[in-house]
Amino acid sequence: MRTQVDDGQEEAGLFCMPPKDAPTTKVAEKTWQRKVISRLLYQLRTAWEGIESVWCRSGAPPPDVQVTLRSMATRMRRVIEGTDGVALEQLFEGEVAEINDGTVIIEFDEGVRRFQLKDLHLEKPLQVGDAVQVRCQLEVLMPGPLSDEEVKKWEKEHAWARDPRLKAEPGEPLK
Amino acid sequence: MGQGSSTEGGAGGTPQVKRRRGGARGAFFCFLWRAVKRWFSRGRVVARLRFFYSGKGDTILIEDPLSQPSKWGLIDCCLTERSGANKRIRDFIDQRGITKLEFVCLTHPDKDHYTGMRDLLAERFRDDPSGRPGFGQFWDSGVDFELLAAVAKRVGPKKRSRAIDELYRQLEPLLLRKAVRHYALQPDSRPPVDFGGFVFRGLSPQRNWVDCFQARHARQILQASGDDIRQIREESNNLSAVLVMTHKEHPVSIVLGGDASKQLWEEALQTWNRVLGDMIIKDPRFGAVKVSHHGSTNGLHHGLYRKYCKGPRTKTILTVGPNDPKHPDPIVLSFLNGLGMRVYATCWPTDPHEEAVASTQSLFPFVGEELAPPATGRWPQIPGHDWADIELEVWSDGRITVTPERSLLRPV
Repeated sequence: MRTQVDDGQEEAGLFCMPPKDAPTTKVAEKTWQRKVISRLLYQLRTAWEGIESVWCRSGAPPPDVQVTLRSMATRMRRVIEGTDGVALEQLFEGEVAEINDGTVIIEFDEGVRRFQLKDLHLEKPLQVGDAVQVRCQLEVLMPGPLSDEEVKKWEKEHAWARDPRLKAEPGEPLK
Repeated sequence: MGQGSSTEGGAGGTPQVKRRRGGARGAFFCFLWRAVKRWFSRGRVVARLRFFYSGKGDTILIEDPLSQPSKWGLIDCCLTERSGANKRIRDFIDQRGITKLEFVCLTHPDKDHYTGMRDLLAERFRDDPSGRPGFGQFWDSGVDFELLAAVAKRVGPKKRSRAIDELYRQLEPLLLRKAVRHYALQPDSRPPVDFGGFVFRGLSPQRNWVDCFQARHARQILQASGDDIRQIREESNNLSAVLVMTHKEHPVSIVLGGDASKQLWEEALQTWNRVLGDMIIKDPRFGAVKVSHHGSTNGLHHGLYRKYCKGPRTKTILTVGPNDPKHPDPIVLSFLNGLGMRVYATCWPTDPHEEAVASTQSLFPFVGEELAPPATGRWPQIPGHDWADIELEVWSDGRITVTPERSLLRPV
């Protein structure tokens, strides 16, 4: 259940822009796709490592915990051919190791994670030894176009900046 | 200097020699006048540029020490608390008693070039009792900033767009009452600033980039889909201004590249070639280059360093922060090193292994130097790295010297 992450793809930031050169051949296209998906998986893993609080989608057994990482990825979206929404999903399985004082500790293959029970909103109480599935989802969220009313509001706010007296002068012509 | 040539501009006490037929006597006197002036001004510092360490960002203060009192200009700001630049620049301004800037330049509206600019101008260069602000001119790339702010807001955090909006909102009343002159840096114009013997020329952005962006109606940008917004954002990287400062009489020219991309450099150098034809000193090579885009491969133009630099004699300044594998990119460093250039970085690694230090020492000249801690204020402690503000001095005989500077106690 270990995510396939190429360590060479690891970057400093959470979101990495894919290379600008568009692939021209099918082989290049596939290589590029693989790279992009590798980066997505890296993002997913980063999200997983950063899980501090989670929220529960439903109380159905086994407890199904959903973590959503929102990201903007233009080219990634093209590769995945999905619309706005969940682009990648990873299921992590674990076992409840300890419950005390509103805290639940779950042991996963990737490591041990601590959650606050109040964050999980579970219908069915957890018990030590319960099998748990955590669904980690990477959601691709593109900025949507503004509505007519929102545009009007923006234009009203920035009307001052459209004042021709504020426009920069070109300076002296170069000799 | 050929017959019938004319000197540039009238500022700085340089005599205007008019073009006339058979002006051998005029040319001789012009030559004599310049030779005498050069003789008396030899060995003098004609400009100082101070590159503040501010992480991955630009903060440059330019001084004209020959004027009485010294004239100052500010190019970009990245005054973050973490790098300590926010405090250091204020200490520096206080110590030098800087109350007026001839110009403020924003090469392009990116976060690492305008952070803290609004607060600094509001605090230290506010209006005097007569209602005149502490800076006379404001230069930018001439692009509709509110559209750029809108784009930044849609693809990134709101804080980023708010800062640029606030900066221009502060400038608005000053620009309206013409207390501050607003100039757009374009390849065919230069802002008319009186800065000692130096002339500032904008080499970019090209009109087509600006017009392309301006032509988009605000509504069109705001109602664009996510893909288009990302595309517009990428285009906005080509709006960075490339600024060249040349001396009227001495063969010194320094280029400050902002975050210019490779494509932008190509266009800027074409403009530079065109401008050179009308200059008296037709040396196309730069004495110092501020490496654009913090040393990323995106801003690497090979021709700039091969054809327009003097090899190891050209000083390359790099404004970078620690622990960023792409800024500077090892490819850029090895390329510059291959040309025999040393990279004067504001931040450099201090590897404990001797071999590693030896290898970086050829790239980063300040490695191993004993640098005094700043006299005032706290300073950032960066594990595995050291930093310094860089002071670049331009001498009248064309020499350029670079020193790491962390002490504010140096006598003025």
